[in-house]
Amino acid sequence: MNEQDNQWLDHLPPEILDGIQGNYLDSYAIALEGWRRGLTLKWHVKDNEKFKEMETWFVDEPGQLFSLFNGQRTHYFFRSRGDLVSNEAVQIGKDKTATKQILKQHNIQVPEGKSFPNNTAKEDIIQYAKQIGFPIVIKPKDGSLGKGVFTYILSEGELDFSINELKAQFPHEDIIVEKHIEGDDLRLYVVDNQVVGAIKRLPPNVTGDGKSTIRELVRQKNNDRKKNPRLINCQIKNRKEIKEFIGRKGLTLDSIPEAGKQIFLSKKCNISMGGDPIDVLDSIPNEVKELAIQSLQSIPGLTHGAVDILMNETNGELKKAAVLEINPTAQLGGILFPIKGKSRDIPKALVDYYFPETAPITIDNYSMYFPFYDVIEPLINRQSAVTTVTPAPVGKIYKKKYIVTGEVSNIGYHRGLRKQAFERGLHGYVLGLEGGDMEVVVAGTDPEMVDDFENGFYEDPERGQVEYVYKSNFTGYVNIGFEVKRELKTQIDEIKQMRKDLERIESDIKKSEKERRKLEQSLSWKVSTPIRIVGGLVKKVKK
Amino acid sequence: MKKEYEWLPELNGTIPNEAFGYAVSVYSIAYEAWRRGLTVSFKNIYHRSGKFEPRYSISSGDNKLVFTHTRPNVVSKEAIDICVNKQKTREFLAEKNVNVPQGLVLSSLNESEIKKSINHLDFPLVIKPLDGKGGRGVITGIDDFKELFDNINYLKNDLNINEIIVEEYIEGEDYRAFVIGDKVIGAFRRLPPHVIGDGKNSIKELLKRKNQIRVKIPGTYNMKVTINEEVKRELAKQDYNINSIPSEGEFVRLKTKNNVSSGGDPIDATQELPEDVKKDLVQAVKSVPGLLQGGVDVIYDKSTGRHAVLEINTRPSIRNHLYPIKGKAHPIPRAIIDYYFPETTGIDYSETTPRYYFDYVFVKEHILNNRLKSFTLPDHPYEPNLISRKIEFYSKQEIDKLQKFVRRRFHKMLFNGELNLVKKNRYEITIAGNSQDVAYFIDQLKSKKYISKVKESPYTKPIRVGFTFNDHYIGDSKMLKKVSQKDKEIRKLKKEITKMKDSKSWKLTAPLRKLKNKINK
Repeated sequence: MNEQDNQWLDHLPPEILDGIQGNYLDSYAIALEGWRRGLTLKWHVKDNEKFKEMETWFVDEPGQLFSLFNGQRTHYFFRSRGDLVSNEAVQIGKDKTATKQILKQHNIQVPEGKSFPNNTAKEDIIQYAKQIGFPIVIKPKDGSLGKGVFTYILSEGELDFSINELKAQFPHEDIIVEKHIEGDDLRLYVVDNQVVGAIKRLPPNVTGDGKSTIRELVRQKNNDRKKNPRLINCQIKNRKEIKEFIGRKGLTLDSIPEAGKQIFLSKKCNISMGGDPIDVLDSIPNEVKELAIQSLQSIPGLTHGAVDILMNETNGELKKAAVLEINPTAQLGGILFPIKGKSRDIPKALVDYYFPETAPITIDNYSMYFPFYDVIEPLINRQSAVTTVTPAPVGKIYKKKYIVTGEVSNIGYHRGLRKQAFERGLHGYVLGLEGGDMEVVVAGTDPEMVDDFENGFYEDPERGQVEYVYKSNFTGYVNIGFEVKRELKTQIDEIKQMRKDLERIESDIKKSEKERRKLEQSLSWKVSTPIRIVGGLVKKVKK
Repeated sequence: MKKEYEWLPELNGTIPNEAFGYAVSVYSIAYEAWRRGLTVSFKNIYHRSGKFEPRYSISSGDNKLVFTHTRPNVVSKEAIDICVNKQKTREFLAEKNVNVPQGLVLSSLNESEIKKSINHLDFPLVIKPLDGKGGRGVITGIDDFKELFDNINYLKNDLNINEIIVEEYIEGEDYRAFVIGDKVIGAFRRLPPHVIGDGKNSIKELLKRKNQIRVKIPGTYNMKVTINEEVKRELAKQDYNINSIPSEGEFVRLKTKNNVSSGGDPIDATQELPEDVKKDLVQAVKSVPGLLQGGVDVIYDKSTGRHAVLEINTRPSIRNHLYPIKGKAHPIPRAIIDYYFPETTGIDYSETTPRYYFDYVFVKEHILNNRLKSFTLPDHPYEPNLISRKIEFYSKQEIDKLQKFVRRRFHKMLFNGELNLVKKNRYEITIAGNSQDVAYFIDQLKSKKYISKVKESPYTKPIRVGFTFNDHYIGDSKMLKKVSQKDKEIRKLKKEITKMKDSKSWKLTAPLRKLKNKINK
């Protein structure tokens, strides 16, 4: 992956995301956008306030329900979906058959297909498939994330096998049979009748370098994917399927593709199963964008959401485009962190839509953020039902870093600095350094106050004696609030980390021991005992 | 020693350590509201001065009160202004015929002017600052003009106080009463810091023991009496020093000042005040428009029956009412919630075994560092088939994974309680929830491969709401040693393995191994 292949948003750098993934990433990105504009941000537990009435799922784990408030209006969000999307729209989006029906009624092209109740005889399904013609796709009616989806089924035998597999995985689900359409798998995001993001999803693939085997290329690609906040947990897996798939082209995992040759490993485009998100907003035809907008319009109450479209385009000419699915609660990660191309600011578009009066606000407090896990921790522990994040300072942020030497390690002195920071309306931290020095970072909207903080170091001479203050501009990101980093909590965290390390080491030792035992027990080791003895003798003689 | 006090049963074990001390007043009121099913939210307010002031709101539907310490926002701004000004207070109270000491604000500090203006007052006199807080600048028992002028100069020059009140000195004991609506809910008076002899131990030893007890009492936590010059002086007056051994039952005074924060002891005195005094206390609060409630300071002389109301505090601490060292505690929190949320009177979700309480660590971890602006408590749990258990078990599972597993169960089945790591691989769960669910959960634990020696027993102590993981095993100094030792071990093993793989015989036997793999297939 080339660095210049993609261009991500400056204000959503991976370093502040701290391992936030999947649906949490969507929630955090939108919440952060609203918060930075000065809206009041609250995090909620399941069924709290208006969430009782909203369609949500799997929300036992907090961090997916939040609200933004502008002083007059509150809007509630479940992941990437806000309360301006109606429950009916969500229900329709969940039911693939219903979606298709409505789209058809509005003369929107959908793949030919049919839904079969779960007790339908296999023969009937096969019969239908033959009628519409191979290749076909089968999938469970209520599935998500590409689970149980079998694409590009070419023959009766393959279909027979696939139906068995699907029934084994989803015994109670109705089965959808659809004609396979050759083409690009697109996902467009529409907000308020405008397409604000579009990605093409390529099936899992690797590009040869003339030296590495497919197996090695997959490993490299998986390593690269770990650096992408959206793809951390979306590794190319399922060796069995890959083997089968590349086997059709006469390849094995040990084949070495020539340099620059792209090898596809599957037909499934799902990002969560190893697919690549690639930004295509500027290159897709307008007709396709129109199609996405019309699709959303056809479903009452669906003011924003994602549309999956299959597009067959040859030599710049649009041959065919069919709408596959509509997702009112779509993941945004692929659009925010494409493997290739520009990331598109869906969070901005959404907050603009929900709070249009804040749209003209130029955000210049991008370096301020709030620690996601800290603010939802009380909800995770069920010790709170709602937490309100301290409002972001709105305006241009000035930051300074001070290294202070002398006798300045007293914890009471550090807490005093916290008070000094709040007096001046500043955020940041104080960190005790080894040898009694300390590091202080402060940030705020008033440059005078940020500079004036230096005077604060001298205000408590009883507990802190300052020798030198080194002042520099700080370019990093600053958490909301003021943290005294040498407090007991941090020390305990250190010890906890240490114990985690210990546990890891212990399991490493076990693995090493196992490996050693395997070596020792290996047949050849035993066979070679005489050789080893001779070898030992030779060594001795050499000495 | 016989227990001479009776505290509120609902607060027994339900106040977490973090809320001890000054925060007891706030916690106990919030707790009372919470256990009645009201919504409680804590907020952080940082003043421009950087000073932290806890606020919390209690609401039921549209009825929402915001409290500053013990005072709700329905107490009017005017009432607060009146109570801050001691002269105004006197005037408003006198207007409604409440007994107050006669007195006035000095309009000039010129000696002859003073003489003129106080000619209707008799010695002994008291002087105090007009808007002072606590006991600062209050000088009592002034017997003549010389003493009066000396002390006025002292206030003026040393304490920089220019608005001074002079009033008549009234003989008697100081009482503090909590009044809300038309009731005196409780009253206490303070004993000066003291010890009581047992005929065996020295004053030093007696004080040490007393301090040990004080830190365990939520109300007097962190308010130890330290032996300083003041204490030594006071002892010398009584012909004692710190090593003297007072006789059994003897009351040895350690300081003259008797405020609780410097070591005084509150004792319940609600019964000592006669009805007419109580009536006057209620009248005092009513005399200030918009006040509704307050901590009223009154001097009462048992022998003469005479009393006078000195001042009203609009946000008094109530911890001394809750934790008297002698006598009965009075349910001030209950009275407050009854008054503002009468529809909840008598409701009590916490009358269960176990009782629930909420944690207060969040103030330190999320509010004081200004990460969170507000923090809303979860609703008080309600479960008709409630049961609580202590479960002990043994597991070598990684702590994080185990914690996650237990936490998920707790979420799913709406349990409350804690997971404690007691020692290495030894855990203890305290749990409250639906009896069938708890039984099912215990079975689940027993069925896990990585959990063994599951033991359960009844548990009746209060349960903290939510799920908490406590690590009592940390802080082990052995840990560091162990880490470095294991590191060494692992390096050694790795070396050994590379050596093995690099060895000639390993390389030589490569064909053999391939052969073996083929045979195995």
